[in-house]
Amino acid sequence: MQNHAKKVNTTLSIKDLHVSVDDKEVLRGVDLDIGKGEVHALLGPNASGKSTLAYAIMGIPEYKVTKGRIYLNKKDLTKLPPEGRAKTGIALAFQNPPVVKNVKLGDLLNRISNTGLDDGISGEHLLKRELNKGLSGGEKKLSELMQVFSLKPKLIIFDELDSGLDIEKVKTLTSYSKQMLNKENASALVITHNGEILRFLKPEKIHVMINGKIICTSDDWKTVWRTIKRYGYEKCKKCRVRSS
Amino acid sequence: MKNAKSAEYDLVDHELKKAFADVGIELLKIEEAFGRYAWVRKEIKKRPKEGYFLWVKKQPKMPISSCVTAATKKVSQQMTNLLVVEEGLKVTMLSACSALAKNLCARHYATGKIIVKRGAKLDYKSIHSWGRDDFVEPDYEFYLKKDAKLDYYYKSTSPPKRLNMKTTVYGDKGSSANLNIIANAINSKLETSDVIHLKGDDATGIVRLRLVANKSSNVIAHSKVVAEGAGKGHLDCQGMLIDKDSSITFIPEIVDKNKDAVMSHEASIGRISEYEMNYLRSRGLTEKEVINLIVNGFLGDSL
Repeated sequence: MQNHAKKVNTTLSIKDLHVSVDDKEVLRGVDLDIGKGEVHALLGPNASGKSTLAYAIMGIPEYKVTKGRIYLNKKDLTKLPPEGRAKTGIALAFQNPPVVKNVKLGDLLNRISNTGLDDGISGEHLLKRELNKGLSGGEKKLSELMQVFSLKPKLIIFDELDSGLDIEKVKTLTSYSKQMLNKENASALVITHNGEILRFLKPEKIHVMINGKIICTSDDWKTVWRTIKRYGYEKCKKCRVRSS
Repeated sequence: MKNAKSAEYDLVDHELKKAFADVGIELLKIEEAFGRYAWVRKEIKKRPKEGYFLWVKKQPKMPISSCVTAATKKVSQQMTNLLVVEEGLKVTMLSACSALAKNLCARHYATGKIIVKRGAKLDYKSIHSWGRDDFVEPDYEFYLKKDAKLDYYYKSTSPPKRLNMKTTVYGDKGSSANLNIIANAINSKLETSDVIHLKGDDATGIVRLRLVANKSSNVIAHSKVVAEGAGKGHLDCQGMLIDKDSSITFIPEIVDKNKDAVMSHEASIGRISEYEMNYLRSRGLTEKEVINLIVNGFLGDSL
């Protein structure tokens, strides 16, 4: 593992996090630090625990923290409800956002927005639509981005932002996200199992999660992604750049 | 200042605070009308105690409003109202019934007869806002003559302890009735019964119910369309159950007595899923705010 030489303020800090869902332990001791303004990528095979980590950070009740702590700017969030975490500065762009009947995106944004809508992306045509109802894959992701950025968060978790999108759409949404993150000096944790998004995001760090543990952390996302692409995730367990 | 209403009836407890009407509209206390007109005595069989008589004879320029308020403890209002809209006129009626305080234990009984004559159109909006211990029982009958149209919106913004509401429509040939009944029951018992009789050919009747049960409420809705002529009828009943101690019962009924009539109904009762709840909580809304947001969306901005 290469140490991050630059001294940065830590936005998110997770210490020895254990999380159970329906009494089954999914996360088995996760440590993660994300500095202010940094973008980190989290890769891993299906069912490795990536989305569980996202929901646990957000405080979704069925994801129970059995051990460990989650801090945002040194504030312990571990026992806060989701709305408390959102107000503290965490936002989650869901992989599969639910249809919420009778609630229009515009009405929700009016309720939750801290500073009004940003005009950096053209999502106006979605404002009068019911939340996530009948939206295409790209429109759902756009709706998610409009919501999370309207909260002006300090940390955004993107859960599979790229899933189901063509490469052009990934490029557009990633470019917008990057621009907004820079503008707000916000941090991001990008969960994916598709490396294409990394080309556009260029994360400061990359982590690999297998069986509920981060087994690899590196500053060199290109090498990690190349290794995974060529040899699969099993190779990560023996890789030279693997963290101790 | 120019008056924004063509007629206004304002009753507080049993005291008439305001009653005026433009030329072409006759507004009387119902007791007076009962004494004055034989045809009124035919329409209203029993001698009324209080209420309004509104006879719209010329096209009004502005809406007509009635406002009935309960202001003192244990007041019991027994309204009888008669509204007649003459042929070909277009009338908007704004009706508000409310309690000034939440703890009056008021009783509000209202029977109404509304006659919409040939080719006339009545847009009737009724808003109820009651206290938590009130008992409210409106019973309205609408008579739609040939080609008459009725758009009826009832919305209960603050429910009483108990609401028993009956709405009956008799539609002649070519008439149309749209009933929208919207209520959010909170710690209350709500029973609605609406019936549309499609008496003539080409008459249409649509009932749209949006009912929410929250905080140990019990909601029962009977909704019925009877086709005697070759008309079209549809019932659309949707409910939302918020807590585990509440219940909603829908009883939709379509009765077809004419082989050329087209009748249909749909009914569903939903709830807020945990996933939706958590999704919206992750946007910074509390559980209570999420419920309000979804319920308000469900009930819509019909008024």
